[in-house]
Amino acid sequence: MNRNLEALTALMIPEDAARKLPSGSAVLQQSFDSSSELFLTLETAADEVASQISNKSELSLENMSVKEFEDFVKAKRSSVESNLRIIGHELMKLYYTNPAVQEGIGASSRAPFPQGYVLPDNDFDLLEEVFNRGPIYREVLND
Amino acid sequence: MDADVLVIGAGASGAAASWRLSSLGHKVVCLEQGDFQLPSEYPSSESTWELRKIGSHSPFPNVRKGKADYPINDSDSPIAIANFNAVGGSTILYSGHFPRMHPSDFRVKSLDGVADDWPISYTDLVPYFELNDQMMGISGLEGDPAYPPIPGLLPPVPMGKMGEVLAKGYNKLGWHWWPSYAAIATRPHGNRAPCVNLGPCNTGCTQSAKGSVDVTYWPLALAQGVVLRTNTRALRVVTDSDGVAVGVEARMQDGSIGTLNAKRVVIACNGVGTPRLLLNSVSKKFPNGLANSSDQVGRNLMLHPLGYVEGLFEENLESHLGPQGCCIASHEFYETRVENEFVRGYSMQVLRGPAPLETALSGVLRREIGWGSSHHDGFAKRFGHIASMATIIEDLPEPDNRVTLDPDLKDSDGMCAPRVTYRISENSKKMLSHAIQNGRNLMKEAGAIRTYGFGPVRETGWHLMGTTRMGDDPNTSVVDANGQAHDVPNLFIADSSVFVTSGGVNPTSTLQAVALRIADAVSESLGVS
Repeated sequence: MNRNLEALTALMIPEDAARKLPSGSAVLQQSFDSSSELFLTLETAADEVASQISNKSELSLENMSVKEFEDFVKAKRSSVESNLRIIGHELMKLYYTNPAVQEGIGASSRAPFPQGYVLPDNDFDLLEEVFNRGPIYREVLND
Repeated sequence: MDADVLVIGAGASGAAASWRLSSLGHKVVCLEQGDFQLPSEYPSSESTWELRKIGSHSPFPNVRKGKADYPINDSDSPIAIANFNAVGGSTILYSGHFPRMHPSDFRVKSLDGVADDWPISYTDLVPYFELNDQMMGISGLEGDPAYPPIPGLLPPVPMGKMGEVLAKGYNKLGWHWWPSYAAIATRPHGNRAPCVNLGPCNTGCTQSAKGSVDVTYWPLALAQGVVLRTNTRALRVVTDSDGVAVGVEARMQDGSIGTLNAKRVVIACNGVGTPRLLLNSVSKKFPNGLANSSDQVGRNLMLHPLGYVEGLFEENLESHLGPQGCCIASHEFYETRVENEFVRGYSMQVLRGPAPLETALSGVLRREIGWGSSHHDGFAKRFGHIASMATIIEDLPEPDNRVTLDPDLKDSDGMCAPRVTYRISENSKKMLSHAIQNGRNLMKEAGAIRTYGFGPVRETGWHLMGTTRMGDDPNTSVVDANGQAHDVPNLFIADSSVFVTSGGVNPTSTLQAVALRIADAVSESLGVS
């Protein structure tokens, strides 16, 4: 994975130690296939973003902080929007289907064994007023 | 004779009919163009299931392009057509939401002066509804004011925090709501384990808790001797010189073309597949397609235009947990109200919240999740915090909403593909707008800080109805009250293509009850009551 794509995806989705969530670049690295056309497209898009950043500011993608990245995107959104959309879409597909990420956000695709995910018992008292209002279906006579 | 009865299609209705006929002692052969599915191979308990849902396990054959799929030209429809070609049919991927149609749905002409009356009634179907509920293992709660009594239910699926919050919203508005009827086992049922509230029912249930017919009817039907020939595609129904159905020509599993003969032929290929087969079964005697002297085969297609509503809540409702399409439902606006600008009505089916990838994608699209340090916070404020709802609109039969044959598009066996033409009527549009607004009102009343609503949603063509309608008059219908083709002795149709009206609910419960009843009629025609 080229440095621009690595740096950009780490900025787009930074690591969150408190939530035990990896960075976007760490997840992308796990799936990266240098021969894949998709990843070549992403690298090209990241190179364009890097070039747009250095053209429109004194910053470089590799060295900018997350805050600087956010400020740049806020100020110069239109110049990088379409590339961020391309990269972001593919990044999120990999990120949110990553088992470690799913574990971190509380959405593991493996339910706890053996009881599964336990939801609160239904509060059937809530139905009392529905029941008391009586039937709402239309009767069909002589059927 | 290869069989007493040939059933074409191993989905919801074909399975029910095959089981019923075999339990009455008939020799049944069922042809299915797809194959068995292994629950252990469903993507649902893999981390990448959301990606497989838009690929190999998409409900849309034009996306999936599987070996058993045939293409469908639905470019002239605002609603894309869904199906799943396998043993189990669309029940493999459905949510299992399982309400019955209402008594009034069978008398729309008499009650509201539009569409037509069915030649059968809700009362005629009650014994079959109850039988089907036991076979499929339906959960719910007795006492629902939206229906006549419905006994024998398993305990309802859990509402969860999300369901409870919306229930309180419904109560504030004084609107009907009730726990969903669901083909989801909430306790061990037969050889099926209970639901573990994982969520992704729509990519197959690895627990077999969801009542897809491959785990409900088919094990019993096979044990009773039904011969199920998979990877076998029916190409046309064969008739003799008197125009009597005598069998089916099919492409067999080994690739050869052959004919299977039977005393009766029962078609159960869904509201697009069934007219397609009939229209492809042309002959000198039936130049317009089989059973089509009325010119009704393929017409009156009903698809249930769907509105989608979302509410974002401050509180974490853990909305992603629980069976995806089954929680609570409201029939407050189901029946015709004189004050409305439309006739008939709709149901409001509460869905669980979106899964992680869908939450992230929609959040970024709506600029509610940003890039950088705010990304994780933005995601956390949405995931589990979204309640959603589908509003199912009762569309009326319109003759120009139809299935025809595409002159150019063919399947892998050279059979003409179906072409779907569908327009949303003014009545449906007004109903859709009303439903979406009411859905948003409900979300606000329940405490949502933001609501969204839109429709019709294109990727929702799961309910395929009306294209070989039932009726007493051979000039305006294709089959009679027993599902027998007016024009073709020994030919029956047992799926939702026989529906006269669509109701405002998911059709599976009703289509299976109809299929069981038609199976009894087939049996009676063979001299066995």
